[in-house]
Amino acid sequence: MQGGLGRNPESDVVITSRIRLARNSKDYPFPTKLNANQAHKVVDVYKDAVLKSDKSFSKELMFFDSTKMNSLDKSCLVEKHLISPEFASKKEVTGFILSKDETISIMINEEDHLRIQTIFPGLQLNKSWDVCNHIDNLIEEKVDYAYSEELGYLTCCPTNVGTGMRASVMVHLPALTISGHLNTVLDAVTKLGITVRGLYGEGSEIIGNMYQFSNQVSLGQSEEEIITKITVIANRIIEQEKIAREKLMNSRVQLEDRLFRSYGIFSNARILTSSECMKLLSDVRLGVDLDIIRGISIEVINELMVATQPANLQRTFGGTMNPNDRDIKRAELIRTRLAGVGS
Amino acid sequence: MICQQCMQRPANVQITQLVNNQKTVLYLCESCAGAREKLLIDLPFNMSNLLSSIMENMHGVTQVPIKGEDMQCDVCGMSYDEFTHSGKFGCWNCYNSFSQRLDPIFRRLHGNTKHTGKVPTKVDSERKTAKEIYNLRLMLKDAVKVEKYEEAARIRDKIKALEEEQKRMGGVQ
Repeated sequence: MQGGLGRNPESDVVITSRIRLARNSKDYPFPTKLNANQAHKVVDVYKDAVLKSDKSFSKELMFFDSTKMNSLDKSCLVEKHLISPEFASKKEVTGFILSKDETISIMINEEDHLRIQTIFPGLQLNKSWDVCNHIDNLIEEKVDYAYSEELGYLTCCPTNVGTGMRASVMVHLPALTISGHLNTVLDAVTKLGITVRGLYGEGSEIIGNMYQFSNQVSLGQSEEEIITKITVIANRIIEQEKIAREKLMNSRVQLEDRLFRSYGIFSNARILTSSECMKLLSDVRLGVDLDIIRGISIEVINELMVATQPANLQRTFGGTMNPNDRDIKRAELIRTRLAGVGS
Repeated sequence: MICQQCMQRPANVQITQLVNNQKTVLYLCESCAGAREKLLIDLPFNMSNLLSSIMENMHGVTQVPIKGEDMQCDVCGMSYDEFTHSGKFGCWNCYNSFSQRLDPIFRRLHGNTKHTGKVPTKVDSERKTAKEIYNLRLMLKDAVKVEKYEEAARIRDKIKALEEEQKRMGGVQ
């Protein structure tokens, strides 16, 4: 989730914009029916197709034999949204390609042969699509995709057939949540064919007031139509969140009290669980966005959002730790990172 | 320590659970722990369960083919029964093998049965080639009709070349 986390479009509400394309080769069964030998071949075919494509692009990419990666490294990638939890726990032969700036990640043999993902900060679905589409075109020169004129790109799960595309935005909606208007928004968007998920996708709980909005339908709508729809809806949600933030500012002292209390705990606690940390981070982020809490940049908040997750925390501190030690180290990391900042 | 769920009351219950072979420990207050127990009982629900239940509901129990009549994909060997249980296809040809059953599923999931998005460049150029061949055949017919045999021969060679190109690219459905 790097790639220049500066002031990106709507970055006070939208954390990231992601495009994911599901693709399969017509020469091999889907991963559900692959034997180990075939699975190795699929990994090789796509590894070559990607790494031997356009040089200016492929020199930015690294290939990993994910079968040989340890589980802590995989969990770190999950926490950064670069691979799915399902992919991390797969025992079968898989491969993984990542760009140096972590905007492009390609999973080989996840549910489909290929899952191409591009992730950009702020509201930038069009840019994300341009990059993803370009990669798809490069791979398509080397591989015959499973495609039918009638149904489009054929995928392992019928929910992805057609464009094979999932466009999603991750948004931070603390004011709508605090003011109790969130359910109205969620009801409205789900009626428009939008899926709402938590921070870590399917089945994950809502933490830190973070929500992922993505398209439900992949058949019968073009990629551009889907992107426009999600962008329009995201803009409406941003608008509502900003109105709610303004209303909260009407009771400024109460809001300041809440945000500074959270900031006080966040910057002074000695033991912090990951869910308490996410809740506090949400308040601190809101405080920074509203210019109530000064001296911390959104970049630091974004960095801490990943760095305080269990796997990344363990990697920073050199290896496996039990949850209690993690909670102590998490608080320590935040205090170190925030030392000297604040109002 | 405060409860990890409500973040308000003090945590006085420790819950250890195994999810995907990973041990997690939760520290909750009594009331959240009680609610969680209830939650765990009616939780076994996931996307593939949901999909297979959509499919089963659409076909109704009585429509499930009796043994021996179950459709099967002749490329990967997946049976229709297997597909309805897992919610996942085995290969691209499953879409052909089960085609007569799939439209209602697509309609239910997407509200549509026809792709209108991106066309792979290869397929796109194949389409163009097919159209060009069709046009050239019409021209050939006209040329023969007006006895322009030299031109007819030229057109015929062009068609032949395009057809060979088509064969070379071949395979894309």
